[in-house]
Amino acid sequence: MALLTVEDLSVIYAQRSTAVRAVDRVSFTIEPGEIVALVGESGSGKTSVALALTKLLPMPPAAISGDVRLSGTSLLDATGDTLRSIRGGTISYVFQDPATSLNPVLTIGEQLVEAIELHTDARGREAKQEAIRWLQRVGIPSAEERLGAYPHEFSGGMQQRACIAMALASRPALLVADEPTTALDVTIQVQILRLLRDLQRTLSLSVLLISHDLTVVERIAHRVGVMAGGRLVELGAVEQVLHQPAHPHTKELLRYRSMMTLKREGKR
Amino acid sequence: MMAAPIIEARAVSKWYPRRAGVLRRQVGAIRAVDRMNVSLGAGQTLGLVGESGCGKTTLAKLLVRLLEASEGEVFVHGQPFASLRGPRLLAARRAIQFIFQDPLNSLNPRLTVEETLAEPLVIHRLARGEARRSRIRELLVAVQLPPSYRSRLPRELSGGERQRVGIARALATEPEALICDEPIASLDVSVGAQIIELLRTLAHRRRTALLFISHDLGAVASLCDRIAVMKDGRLVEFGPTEELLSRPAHSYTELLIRSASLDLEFVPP
Ligand SMILES: Nc1ncnc2c1ncn2[C@@H]1O[C@H](COP(=O)(O)OP(=O)(O)OP(=O)(O)O)[C@@H](O)[C@H]1O
Ligand SMILES: Nc1ncnc2c1ncn2[C@@H]1O[C@H](COP(=O)(O)OP(=O)(O)OP(=O)(O)O)[C@@H](O)[C@H]1O
Ligand SMILES: [Mg+2]
Ligand SMILES: [Mg+2]
Repeated sequence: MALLTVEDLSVIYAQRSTAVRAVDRVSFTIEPGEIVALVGESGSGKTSVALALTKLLPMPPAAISGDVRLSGTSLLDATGDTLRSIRGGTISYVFQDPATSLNPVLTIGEQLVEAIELHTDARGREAKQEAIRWLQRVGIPSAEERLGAYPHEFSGGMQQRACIAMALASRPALLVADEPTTALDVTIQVQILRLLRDLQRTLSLSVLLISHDLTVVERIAHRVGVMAGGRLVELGAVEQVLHQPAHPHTKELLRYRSMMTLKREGKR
Repeated sequence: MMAAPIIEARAVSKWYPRRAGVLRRQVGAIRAVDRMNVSLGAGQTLGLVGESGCGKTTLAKLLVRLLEASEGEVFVHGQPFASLRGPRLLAARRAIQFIFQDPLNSLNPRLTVEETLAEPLVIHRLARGEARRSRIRELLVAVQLPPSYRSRLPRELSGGERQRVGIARALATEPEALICDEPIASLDVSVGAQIIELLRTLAHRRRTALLFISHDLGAVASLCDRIAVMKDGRLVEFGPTEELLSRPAHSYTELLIRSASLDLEFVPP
């Protein structure tokens, strides 16, 4: 059975005089241990899909409809405590804007230890050791010393990695990662992708990966969906969608991609 | 005689206290930027790359004087930036604009897109009334946002849309130098390519000086004439783009270039 089933998901934002249909009847599934990517132009509705899954959008102005099921249980019908225990637990998030998901008045270590104690059996010293290990896994140098740092003392890419560590430390079944590598150079990006791949292989972690970086998608995802104007216009195996695109929007994305890749022919 | 560069940093350093343990005792200093020299003349395009945490944002903030240097000095048209006051400080602020790495935190959550873009025009007395409104329309077009977005608040925008509002705000004063900190990081390839094109046009036609920070080596190579590579707060390599990419002298530069085409099974040295 699929871990996540999304059917006819729609999100509408009420604006003063109009309504913005940000997500328009989107359907897809994610199997246990499967990495599904969402790509598409800026404003096409990717973040709205991710946040709607567990009703993380402020309602109003947002109105969500459709059906979202986690191992058969409806998420859109769930309320209060049930939702809170799912968010950050079974489903954890790496938000597009790292700074907003970190608490500015708690140290990175305090926040990590809190996530670990809340969702695993580790306590005290053991939780702290676990926190250090997670920072090391996401490539933060001098991890033990950095536990005591506040978020504003981290660089953009370090904040992003702290968020990834925090999301993974709660041992989710599904990780929803919204542009998790935008602030990372390729060397660290590869390290993070390798970490996700390892967790997917050993613990059957499922991932919904939102990324505008098609190289990242190609490196790690099994299937990819292309969004345009709120609709999922194409969905299929990565090799197929990125090499034999069917939809004009996908072709357009790929055309720009080849313009931007490092041209090194004959140089090395 | 050669004109002084628009902006120049001479041996600038920024140290932060290094703290350890829960008590956060100070145990030394993090040299976030360590005696860096940077110079930007009209029309020059300089790419700045380096691993996460190497000091790129700190250097950029020193250049635009959002941070004060621990040592060394920044000059604007040959004048020490730190000594400027009153109208000359205002002129320097207008001439040198910054695009922030983190768009959400750099936008005032209570200002609409229109108010955000009007602010620099008002502060620097650049346009009023109908001229101001039409300038705002132009800026929105330049970053590919529909005119109807004027009345939106930052939280009513997508991540990439917010980043573009930040870019439009930096363009509003027609700066002589633009310091761009990961300006296309949250943009899809098509919008990203168009923003690069816009920056290229500014550099060529208006002779705008660009410092372009990005971890996307492809984008840096396509826009910049020269590339500087930082590591641990220091400049480790610097040169014309073609040369640096084809004959990297420093092993870190080589690794950066190589990892652009890595696959996951690759084990870094
Ligand atoms: N509160 C809101 N009110 C009105 N419109 C909104 C609101 N929030 C988002 N939108 C609009 O909904 C659309 C989808 O936004 P969303 O954040 O899902 O896009 P995205 O695909 O994640 O884009 P990006 O790649 O730029 O992050 C955008 O056009 C955006 O302007
Ligand atoms: N306010 C601060 N207090 C203490 N340390 C800081 C502070 N700001 C930055 N640092 C440290 O200085 C170093 C350089 O940070 P900076 O933000 O300049 O890196 P960066 O090259 O921009 O990285 P990224 O690519 O991840 O954005 C990092 O080790 C960071 O933790
Ligand atoms: Mg988004
Ligand atoms: Mg930075």
